[in-house]
Amino acid sequence: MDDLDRRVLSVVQEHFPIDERPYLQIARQIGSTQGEVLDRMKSLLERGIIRDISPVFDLQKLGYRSTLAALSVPRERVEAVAAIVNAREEVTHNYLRAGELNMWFTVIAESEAALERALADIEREAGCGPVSNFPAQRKFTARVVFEFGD
Amino acid sequence: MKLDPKDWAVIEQLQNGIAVERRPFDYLARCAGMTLEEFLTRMLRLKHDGIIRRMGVRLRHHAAGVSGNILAVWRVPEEDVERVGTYFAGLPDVSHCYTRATYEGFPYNLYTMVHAPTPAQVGKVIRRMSRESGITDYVTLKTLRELKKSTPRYRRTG
Repeated sequence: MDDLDRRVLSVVQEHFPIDERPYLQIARQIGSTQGEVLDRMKSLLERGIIRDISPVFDLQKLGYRSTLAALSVPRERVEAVAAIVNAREEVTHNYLRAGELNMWFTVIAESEAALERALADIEREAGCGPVSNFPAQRKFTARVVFEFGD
Repeated sequence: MKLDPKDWAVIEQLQNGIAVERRPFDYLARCAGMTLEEFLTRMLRLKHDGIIRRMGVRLRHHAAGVSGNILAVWRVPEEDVERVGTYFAGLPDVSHCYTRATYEGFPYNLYTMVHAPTPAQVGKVIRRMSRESGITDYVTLKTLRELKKSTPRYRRTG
């Protein structure tokens, strides 16, 4: 990543312009040209540095509910249980982690009731004990901003 | 803010992604069945009302040079939650800082997602967080494997 990549990223990470010509606006902000910004954006996507260009929505305000849940999965059942958990559309992330509670997944659904149903289904299908449900109580921060100083 | 069907049309289209071309919103507005002007006006309102929380790109952290990220969970006495949560949340290396429900076998109530360029550096950050907050009861839930990572797809339901 060079200096121009970093300047483009510094704008598009949080302040992608809501404008009929957003890339021209970005170019103006960082003292570049629209053509150059378009080239860099294509390259950042191709190199996989940018995953996608899409807003982050507040799921609560869209009426959705979310939680973090965990299971204690015996080593020999990890693959089978992962397949069960991952098959649910409501599960957006799932990680195998160190510790006794070793499978941690985030669940979102369009209501509290739908969330409960998803967790109950997973618990029944996985068959490795209760799903621990860790709903967030207080959010001090949720942001994804990084400095790019390789 | 109450979302009407046209707001949902905007939300649906934005979830398909913004193209890298001179006028990317023209196509999305057309798909949403409205003029560009109305599409942009609705987007601005969604942003203003916080329904769009962040107007930006999503990064792949590994590719962007952030390879040490770890979930650290802390057992913080109730009366210290405010102080510690605010301190952790203010650190540039912490992206998420939430309190969560606890269980008998799992008494950790404050969750932090900590990021640094390397695993060694992230360990250093966590030790500093412990030292400066005075919270010594914590565990790091190292990721052994990513089993699933998908982008949620929101739809109009009610």
